[in-house]
Amino acid sequence: MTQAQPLIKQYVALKKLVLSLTLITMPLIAWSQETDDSQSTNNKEASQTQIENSKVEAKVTTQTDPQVKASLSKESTTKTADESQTDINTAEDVDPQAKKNAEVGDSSSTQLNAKEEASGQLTKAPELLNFVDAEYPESAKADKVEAAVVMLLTLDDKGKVTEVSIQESSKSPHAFDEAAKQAALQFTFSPAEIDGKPAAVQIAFKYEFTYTEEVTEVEQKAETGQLSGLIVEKGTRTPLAALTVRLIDRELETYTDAQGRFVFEDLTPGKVKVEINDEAHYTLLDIQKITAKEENIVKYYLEPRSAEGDGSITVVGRRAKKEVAKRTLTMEEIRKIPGTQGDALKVVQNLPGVARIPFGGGGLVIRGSNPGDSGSTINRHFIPLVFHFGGIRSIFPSELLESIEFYPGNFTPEFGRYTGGIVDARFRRPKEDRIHARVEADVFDAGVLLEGPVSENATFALAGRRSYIDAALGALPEDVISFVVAPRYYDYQALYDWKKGKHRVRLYFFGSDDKLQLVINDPAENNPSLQGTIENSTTLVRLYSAWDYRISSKLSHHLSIATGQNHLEFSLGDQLSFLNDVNVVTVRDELTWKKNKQFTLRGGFEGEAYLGRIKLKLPQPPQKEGQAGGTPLSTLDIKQTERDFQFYNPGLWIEAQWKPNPDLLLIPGARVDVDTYLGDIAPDPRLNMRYTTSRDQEGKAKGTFKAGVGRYSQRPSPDETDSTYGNPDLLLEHSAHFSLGYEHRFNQNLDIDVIGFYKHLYGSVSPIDDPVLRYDNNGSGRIYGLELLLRHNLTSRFFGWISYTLMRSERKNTGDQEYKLFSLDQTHILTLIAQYKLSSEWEIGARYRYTTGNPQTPYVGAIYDTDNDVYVPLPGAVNSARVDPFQQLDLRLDRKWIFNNWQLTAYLEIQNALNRANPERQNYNYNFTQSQVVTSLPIIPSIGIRGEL
Amino acid sequence: MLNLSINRSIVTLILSLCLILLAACRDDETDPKSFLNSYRILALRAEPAQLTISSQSQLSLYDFHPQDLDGERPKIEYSWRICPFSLGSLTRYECFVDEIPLTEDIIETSTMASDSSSDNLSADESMETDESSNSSDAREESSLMPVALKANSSVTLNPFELFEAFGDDLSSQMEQFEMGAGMLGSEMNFFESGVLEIYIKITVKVDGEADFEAVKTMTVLLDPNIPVNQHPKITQISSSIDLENSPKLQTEEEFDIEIEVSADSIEEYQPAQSASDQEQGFEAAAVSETPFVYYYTTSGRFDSAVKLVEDNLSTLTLGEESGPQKLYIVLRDGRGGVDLRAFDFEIEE
Repeated sequence: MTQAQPLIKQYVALKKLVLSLTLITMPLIAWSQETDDSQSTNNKEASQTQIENSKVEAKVTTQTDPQVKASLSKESTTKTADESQTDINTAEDVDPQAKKNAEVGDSSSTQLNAKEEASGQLTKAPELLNFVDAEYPESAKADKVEAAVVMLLTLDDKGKVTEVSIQESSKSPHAFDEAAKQAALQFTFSPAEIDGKPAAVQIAFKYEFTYTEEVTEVEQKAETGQLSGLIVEKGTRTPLAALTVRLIDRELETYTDAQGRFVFEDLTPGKVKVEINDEAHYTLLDIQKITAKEENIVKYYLEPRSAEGDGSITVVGRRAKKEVAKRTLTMEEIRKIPGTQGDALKVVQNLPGVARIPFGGGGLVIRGSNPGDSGSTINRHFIPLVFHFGGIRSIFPSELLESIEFYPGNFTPEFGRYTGGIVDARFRRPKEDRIHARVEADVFDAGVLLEGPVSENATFALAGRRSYIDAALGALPEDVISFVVAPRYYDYQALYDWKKGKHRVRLYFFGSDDKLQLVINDPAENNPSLQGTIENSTTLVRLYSAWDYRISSKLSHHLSIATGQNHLEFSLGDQLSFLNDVNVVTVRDELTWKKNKQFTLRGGFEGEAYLGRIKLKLPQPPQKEGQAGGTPLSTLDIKQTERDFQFYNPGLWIEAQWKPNPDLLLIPGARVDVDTYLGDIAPDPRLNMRYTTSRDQEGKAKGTFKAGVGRYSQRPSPDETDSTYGNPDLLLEHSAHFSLGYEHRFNQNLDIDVIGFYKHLYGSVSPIDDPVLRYDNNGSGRIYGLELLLRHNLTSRFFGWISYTLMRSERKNTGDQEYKLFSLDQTHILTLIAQYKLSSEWEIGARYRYTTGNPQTPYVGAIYDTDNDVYVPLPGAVNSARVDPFQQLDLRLDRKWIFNNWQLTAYLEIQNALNRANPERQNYNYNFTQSQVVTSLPIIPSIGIRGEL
Repeated sequence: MLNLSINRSIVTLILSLCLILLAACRDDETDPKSFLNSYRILALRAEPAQLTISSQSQLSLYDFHPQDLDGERPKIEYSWRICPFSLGSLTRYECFVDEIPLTEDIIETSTMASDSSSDNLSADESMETDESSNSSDAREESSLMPVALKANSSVTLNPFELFEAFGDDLSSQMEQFEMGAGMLGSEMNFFESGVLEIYIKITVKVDGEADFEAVKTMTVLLDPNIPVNQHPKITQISSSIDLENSPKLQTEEEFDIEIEVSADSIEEYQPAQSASDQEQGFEAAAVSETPFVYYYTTSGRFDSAVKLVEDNLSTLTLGEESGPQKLYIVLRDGRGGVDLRAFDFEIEE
């Protein structure tokens, strides 16, 4: 091989090397080597776990030598890996929880997962830095023979080629294989990164030997110029790598490098037609004039065909491992689901198993459980609230979230202390490419987000949001209510994320603050005690720190501590008051040991400590499940209590992930929670399993059965165990979850997931007639139903889903009673969501919801309290009636303007577009002889804008 | 112990209160409580307002029936019962023991109005009747002359008879209390506080109508040193029209009405402590009564029908129906004390 020399066009066999960027990431070769014994098994399995193109595709570029065209194909040939992605993720120093959730999950959880795979995602492809020409075998040259050799290059975490194996021989008598191998051993690459960390990988590399006549003539070099440029995405300014740039009238082409740069040298003066064609972007055509001895520099902004946004949330429906088809929602899509105001947490309310909460309620009714029986966590640390004012908005912006994992039931042992479901939101790593800014505003609030790198290994994000509902409500007539401080909320987040080598450290500081203060000028006619000043203040502050350490290829460690304060204060004049200040510390410490591909063991400690003060002046809570409400406040005895408290509740959990064969995954586990206040211990065994019944031609699972069974425990509501308001001798409540489901992937875009479930509640706290004990643990419940999710994944223009739940939820206070409907039982819950992209600027979306009306307890009369001039209702059979069904159609229209350096999005959202008077409940007159339906919100149009830089 | 960061049940309660509040602020298509279009008990007044060991008390019932406007009241039967203990409104005033019926007094001229109340509030001459002189004061200060309002039924409570009837139950409950269980589970530590609460229940049967059930909490003062609650007193009624002389008004006419209350009749008192209060060492601070003024009418609507005493001006917009109408003003102190005034007026076509 000869080097290109000035003024000389030398021969040479033109080598088209095709870097089939089926980068088969192999985190640790050592580990791979250790498992050689299982290679045959692995390979067999790998054939079933081929990596999706989109997942492994990496647009790698190289500086193109004009004389030696190194063509890096963007074609991402699917390549069978000898290491499955599961291995990658496990070996990587990723959050073990994320990994577990991503890979194993439980058989009945719908997960909203990370932008990318939370674990083991190739974040930086290796870039060929030094290319070495192979020696063209002389014998082949003489015979004018051409050939191609496909090699598998093993790169270490520094990018060095450590091993070359021939995957597809040239099958030629000439020594093409050896020549290619020797050349490849001299290549150097930039290190590949998985999850941002340098990692060993394998790549397929095709080396083509093409014979051309050697040209030895010497030409006089003409006066030439140069064209160089930078290509970025319009709106986001993201450099676009590996794009083909063609001078179509010169038959020249090159590729952009990782920074989006390209260069054409030695261009003869004159006009050139530049074409940049890319599937993901609109084709750009341009004409440039080349001037001799000058460098012509251009900058192109390519407009994306479909806005990808800057992140994605992956909905991995009830899957157990990665070969299950993924259902991906981009953040852009989440923002555009009508009725959610772009709030990712509200999207959960549209998934199967989640009942519609009545207007004003912010909890989640998951598989027929009381909202208080389901927990919300941030990075798996429980927090008492996730919404402002019971549901207006979640307390953190969706843009900062990496994932939302939703477990409607059968969650694995790492979660405990709740008998319903779990919603786990996780912050993402702030962007590290450059500084990003985002400003948005809608009818409720305005917020700002700033993020970017602070050093080579660290990134940061700062965000804040403040409502201005107070300004709107301040316009209410003051003769009814005088707002001193109308509903006002704000939240803030500061994120710092550092990672290097085997370590990752995260520091999050976030909080929210809600405040309301109003004056009721006149007592309510039907409830005169409702008068005076109402004040409500809710504050949440948390400092979260986490350290992840990959001890070895098989062992990883996670430690996280969250500390902070909860403050809740409420008062109604001098009559009622509630104050609760709590300092909270929660700790999670976990170890993950991956013995081999077939067996992983995880376990950890979870502790919570509370130190606080509570001061109450309230009546006995007038309504528990199974009790009718409506008792006027004026007639209730006011109790008071004030005390300091501190307690500490430890918990231990362990789980195994065992694959006895490639199609079967078993996840046995157990958790033990200790409640030091109640003096009760809850050992909760759990078991989930998945069995793949069919696979497609690529080995991806098409049909999977899944099942789960487990026991879950939680402490009663605090007032129920209080000596003043409840019974301190109560014990933990329990539930048993059973689920059996099947999911099927029809094709790349369409899949269905069906789950039947049964949940038995026992040891439930129930009110009793005994006025001393007030409650006992003899309550029980049963909840059963069927969930269906038919989802069309995002294509270039459309995405949507149909979510349907058929369910019945019942309770009874004692064993000898008949079951009664749960107060939030909804037999049918149907949600249809569709979004269609009309053009690159316009999108429309619609959401339709239908739910059975909530049960209600009718009143059969009332007793007149002559001292307070109020009527105390006499309830009929509990929950023996229902309000009418709820139906609502929400519409949304989005318009995007993409400028070179930023983009602006505006939307119009119409909630309840048909202006249907949806009943929420019956409102009774003063003596409960007349009633009228209280309806939900009428048609409400709203607008919002968002600017991104 | 309230041992969680946020008490979800109490948050639920708070949300419920807010919903009630919002509901109260909504346009209501149902009839307001202040609009009298069906049988109604306006007040149940005990004299004296609280029962003591050494005295009896007469309870007088003042009520309204729409046919009163025509002077053709249907036959109404009153059935009185007493229960020594109750769990309160949460259990719909269920009685743990058999309720004892009370015999109605023979009603002659039991009237609670500024002109004759003192003579008719009690059928027992031995009752303490400081109230009578105060009522006379009220009459003198009033700028209006309300109509005389006769009680339509009354009973007399004799504490000795009461304890005789329920003695066994009381003893039993005292034993429970001594065992730390509280008074029938009630939070009120009656014996420690020197008070006991009993309930008077009334069933009113009106010909052709559903039974009307009412309840009154009666405080029995076991400690003779605890002062008896005095009824609040309306001392003056002001209006933008001449209510005094059965005025003739126009349909949809508006007028203001406001009362003055004797400051002396708004008392400070020591609330009875609950068992848990005492357990936790809460000291019961003396609190002042918070009387409410309740307006009722047979025609039209008040802009606000329930008012605090300190700002009780209300505007009535009359309805469209002509004929004789009534207006009632009831003052309640929340502890059983009550005062009531009634006016007649007529709406001309």
